[in-house]
Amino acid sequence: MASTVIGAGITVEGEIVTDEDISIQGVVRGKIDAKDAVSIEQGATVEADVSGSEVQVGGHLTGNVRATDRVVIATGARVIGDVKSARFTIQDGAQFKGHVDMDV
Amino acid sequence: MKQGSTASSGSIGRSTRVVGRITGDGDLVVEGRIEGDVTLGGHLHVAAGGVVAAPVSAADVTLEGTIDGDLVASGSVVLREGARLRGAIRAGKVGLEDGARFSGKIEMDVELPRELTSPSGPAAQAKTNTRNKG
Repeated sequence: MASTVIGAGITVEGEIVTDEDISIQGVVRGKIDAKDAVSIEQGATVEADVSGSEVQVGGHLTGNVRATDRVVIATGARVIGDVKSARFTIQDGAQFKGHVDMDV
Repeated sequence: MKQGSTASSGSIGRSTRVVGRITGDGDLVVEGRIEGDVTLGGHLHVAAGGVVAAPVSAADVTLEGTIDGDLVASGSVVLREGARLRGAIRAGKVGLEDGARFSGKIEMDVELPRELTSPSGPAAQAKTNTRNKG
């Protein structure tokens, strides 16, 4: 369980800055700046630029993603935005629209 | 105090800072820092070390950390040992425990004696008189 959890009934409008991992099940509009893993769960809606070590998306994300380790867009997820990460996975059934920069 | 991990609950961890508004119908545990209004339908628990630097509105509030702002609760507000609050409290019930630090005013839903509330009571009349004199 992540140390910071934005639950399903919770909306954050603004910026979240954290040194630890974070799990989003609700709504975030603004910016997420994490040093550790970011998990955007199924059912979550994020309209924000997201940065973290590892970004897992299972919900809907509109915004640019930057990860130091990797980005995974899971089945059923939808991402609209640019992704910058050395490792990037789009699972079968995920929707993605944007630019990818894998630093090649 | 219950801290069930229901789907609509959330937590702001120790090294997390939120600059902006938080709204929701669930519960929230704050161990980190929030710089923005918090409006919750559920229970807000500001743990020791947690800081909310803005007005707060929730059903119930348990404070062990710090709130810098007015606090409105439809249910109860409890300031535990180590709590620090600068602002007004308006709530149905307020508990102020030994070791909590608070400066501001408290407004509880108190049923005032009739002479203080009825328009013809002496208090109301005194007020009218003062106004007439002033």
